[in-house]
Amino acid sequence: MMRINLLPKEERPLKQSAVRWEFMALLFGLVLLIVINVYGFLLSVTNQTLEQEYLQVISMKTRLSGQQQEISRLQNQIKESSEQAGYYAHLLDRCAAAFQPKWLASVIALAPDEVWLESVAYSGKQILISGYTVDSQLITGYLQKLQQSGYETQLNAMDQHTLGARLFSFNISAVRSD
Amino acid sequence: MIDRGLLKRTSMSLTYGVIVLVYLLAVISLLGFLRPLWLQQSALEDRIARERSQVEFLDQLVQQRPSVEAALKEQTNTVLMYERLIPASTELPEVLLVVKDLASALQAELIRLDYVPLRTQGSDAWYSMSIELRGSVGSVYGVVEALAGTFPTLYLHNITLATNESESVNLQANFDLYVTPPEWETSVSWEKRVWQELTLNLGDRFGVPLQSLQGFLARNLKVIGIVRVQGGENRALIGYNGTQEWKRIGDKVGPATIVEIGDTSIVFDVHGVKLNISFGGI
Repeated sequence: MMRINLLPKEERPLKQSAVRWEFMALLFGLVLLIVINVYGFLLSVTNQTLEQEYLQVISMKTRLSGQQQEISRLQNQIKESSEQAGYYAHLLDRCAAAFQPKWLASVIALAPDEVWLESVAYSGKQILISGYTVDSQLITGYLQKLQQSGYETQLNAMDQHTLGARLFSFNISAVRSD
Repeated sequence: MIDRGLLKRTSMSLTYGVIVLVYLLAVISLLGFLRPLWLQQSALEDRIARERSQVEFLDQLVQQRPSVEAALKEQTNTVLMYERLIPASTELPEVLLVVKDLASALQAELIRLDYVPLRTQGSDAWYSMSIELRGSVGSVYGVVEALAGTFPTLYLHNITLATNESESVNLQANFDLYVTPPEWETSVSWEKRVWQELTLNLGDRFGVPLQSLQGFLARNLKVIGIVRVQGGENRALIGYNGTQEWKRIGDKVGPATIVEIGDTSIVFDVHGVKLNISFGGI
């Protein structure tokens, strides 16, 4: 027996195997909504973790900043100490370059026997030597010894005196060549 | 009777409304919930990356701490070494005491030791000082040499060694003694350096002043007579300073010592200077 559906096509019930598109759209929409919210929830959990990590990094940075400030303070102390040490070294060099008493001693010690010194004075980078001797040749010898020891010399005056014996007084200026 | 068409249209509208509502909620969730979380995540990651980079930089700096501490220790030791060498401005009394002790130890007579109050210019701080000593050449020179050794920041401006009539030498010196700048705090005190006594022999290089010789001879010095003694010492009659006396070798005449009595002349030694005075006068 044959059954004929007399309803218009659009009013006929769907076949059992057919799926309404409205259902699919609604299902997709719901799945999308759920996915978005689940993903959002996971993201918020991740963000909380990140915030904790951020706080840890900040805490570490604060700790390291404190240490870095301490190192900066140490570096400033090094700079200060370095300036002080530099100043002291320069001061010692300056004083070492000034006149040294040993130069005076060498000038005195170079005087030959029978040359008697009256005064030896250092002032204004030159040494003035005055004295007398019985032999004028000894003055020449003294000048040569001074020159050999690194002095530029000049005989400023030489006078002869007769005091029982002949005496030659002299006045020499000596400047270190170096 | 219910209109089936109306019912179906109403049902469809409701279905469409629900669908639209679901998608609307999805869009609202996307924009209002998910997007801020994304932005927050991105911002957090950026901030963490930035802070991590700074932490790494700071960590590298902090790693240098041992070397920085070692460098500071080295510099501090260098400064301490200098502070032990250079007196502080407040240590002037000790400095003056050292000068006096040195003069005393080297048997030099300290005639004068002056200083002017501390002067400063820039970082420099110094006392201008002057000293006057009397004694043997070795003594007075030894004091100055010891001072230069004890105070490496002693800047000598001038120094004069001059002989005098009393077989000794006068020494005058002007110098600046640089001290540690008062504004720099020193953590150690200046340590007096141990000086070594000099062995330099400057003994007889200085004679009496020429003026003294002239003065000695100007006091009417005359050899009046000489007596030759067979097998004994010669004697000489010497007139000096208005008096006449018989003298032998080794006797003193004023500041001079007779070292030789010849046939016609006498040799005097005036602090090392030999003067030959002939019979009858000079």
